[in-house]
Amino acid sequence: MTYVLVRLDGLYIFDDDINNFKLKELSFDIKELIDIESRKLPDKIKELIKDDYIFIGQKFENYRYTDDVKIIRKALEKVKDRYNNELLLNLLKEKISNSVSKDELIIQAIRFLDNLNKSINLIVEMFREWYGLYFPEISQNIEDHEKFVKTILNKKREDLIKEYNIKITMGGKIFDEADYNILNNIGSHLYNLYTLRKNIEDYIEKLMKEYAPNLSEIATPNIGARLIALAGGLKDLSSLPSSTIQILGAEKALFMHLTKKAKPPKHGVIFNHPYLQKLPQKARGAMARTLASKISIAARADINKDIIYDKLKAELDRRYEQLKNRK
Amino acid sequence: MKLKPLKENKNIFIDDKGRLYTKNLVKGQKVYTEKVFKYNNEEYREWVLKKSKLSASIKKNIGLVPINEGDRVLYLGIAAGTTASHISDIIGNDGMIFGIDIAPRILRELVPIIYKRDNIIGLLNDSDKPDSYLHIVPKVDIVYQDVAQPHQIKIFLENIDYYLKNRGYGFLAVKARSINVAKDPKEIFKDVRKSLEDHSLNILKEVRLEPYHKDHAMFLIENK
Ligand SMILES: C[S@@+](CC[C@H](N)C(=O)[O-])C[C@H]1O[C@@H](n2cnc3c(N)ncnc32)[C@H](O)[C@@H]1O
Repeated sequence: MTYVLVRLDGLYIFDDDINNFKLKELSFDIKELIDIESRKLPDKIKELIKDDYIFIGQKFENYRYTDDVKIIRKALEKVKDRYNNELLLNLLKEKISNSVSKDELIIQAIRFLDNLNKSINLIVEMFREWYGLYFPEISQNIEDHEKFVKTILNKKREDLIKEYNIKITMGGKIFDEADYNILNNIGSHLYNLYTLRKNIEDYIEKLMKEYAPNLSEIATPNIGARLIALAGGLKDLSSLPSSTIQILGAEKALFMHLTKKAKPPKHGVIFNHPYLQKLPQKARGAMARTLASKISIAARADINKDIIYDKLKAELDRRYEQLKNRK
Repeated sequence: MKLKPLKENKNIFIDDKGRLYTKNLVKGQKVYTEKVFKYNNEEYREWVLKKSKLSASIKKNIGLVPINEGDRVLYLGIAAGTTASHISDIIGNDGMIFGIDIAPRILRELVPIIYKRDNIIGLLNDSDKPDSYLHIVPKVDIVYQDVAQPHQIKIFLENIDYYLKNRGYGFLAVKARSINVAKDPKEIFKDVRKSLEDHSLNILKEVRLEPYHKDHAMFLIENK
């Protein structure tokens, strides 16, 4: 028997008891190194392999191999201690570059969106406080932040007073042009931030519908994106049991359950799904279970590039109607 | 300030306040937030106890630091190279670290460090598949592992079986939380000890890493 081992410096051809070897020196480029790792044999090695050769620990398709640890250890004791640092550094860079995926884009986008929301809320609250010195009545009239910003943008107090029929304002009299301008300036930046938020939401929706159409339909694009982010990728999500999917995003509650004997969580981010939101409390657990199991199937279909969301959606809808009508 | 070599390892230094240092292999390079400074015409880097489980374990009297100039080291979970950079200082230009990590994002931070440190090779691989780097990694003097994974012991043992020389050393940093959040760390470390012994490894020392790393322990083993 003849054992062989592919190394950076070539093909090691060992005798029966791994005591002696011949080295067929070869050099590989990055593509070949990536092939070797994904267990595709570069042509220049194929040429050298005879039928009775057995690869040591390296399982190339259609070739014989052994995973006997004793043989692996012994072979490694013999091989030469030589490395091409520059090649390996370039290999690392190439692999990092190849790792950037749509998953990554979704994860960054959803994380950015959440933090943008937090930032907007912080800024808008401070803005409303400041603006209250100028014209508090309008702030008291409009609770919704975005609507508030859109209402006051590029308008003076005089216009708003008429528009909202407010006779006497508590706003300060000392406002001159500069005092007003800075407020309007902040308002216009906030307006842009709301536009940015909308653009990111649209982007996520479009990306999700292309990348994970089944998941988007069943979970909604937004929740689907969050599930992908929480699982670390679509592939990871698709391999989770649906009981885990059901509580993704509720890790803190789960931790409290495991360590402090608190109640186990019933749902994580899927809690925000419109069907769960619309159902009464007591029906939500059952809905969450069904939803999680459909999500799991949808994610697997997305990995396999199947389109099955019509059927899944119909099943989900049926369950929802059932639970809605249950007394 | 006065620096003295440590009795456990002459390439690790200690000052009168008990802080640890290594001699910087790459002049002027700072790898993380450590202090870099000149002393007796040599450049040193502080080995921050809270940033490295290895320096914390030395501080907590692991007793033996068998890392020598010229050593080959297989480092599983090298991340951004915080600890590896100090090992790199210790083993010098004749040594070599093969640093495996599964996360491309963190390896992005390692790349600029490798540019200047010729004794570190970074590999984007899953250390749970030790055969995936059989064409690159040689037999090593030391296997160092810090991957914070539920099945980290299995990973450690597999890599030892493949790559660690007879009578080579292994450092295993265990984070109880990653193995099981609900279980008492003491119990977890007991289980680890048992798995290592069942694999017929000599456990030379086990130290807890508090207060520098909560619920962590470092095991130093020797291959038979
Ligand atoms: C706690 S960090 C290591 C910190 C580092 N040892 C230091 O002290 O500078 C754990 C690292 O293990 C990596 N990791 C987790 N699972 C892994 C696996 N199966 N194979 C390789 N690396 C893994 C993670 O990506 C992470 O970078």
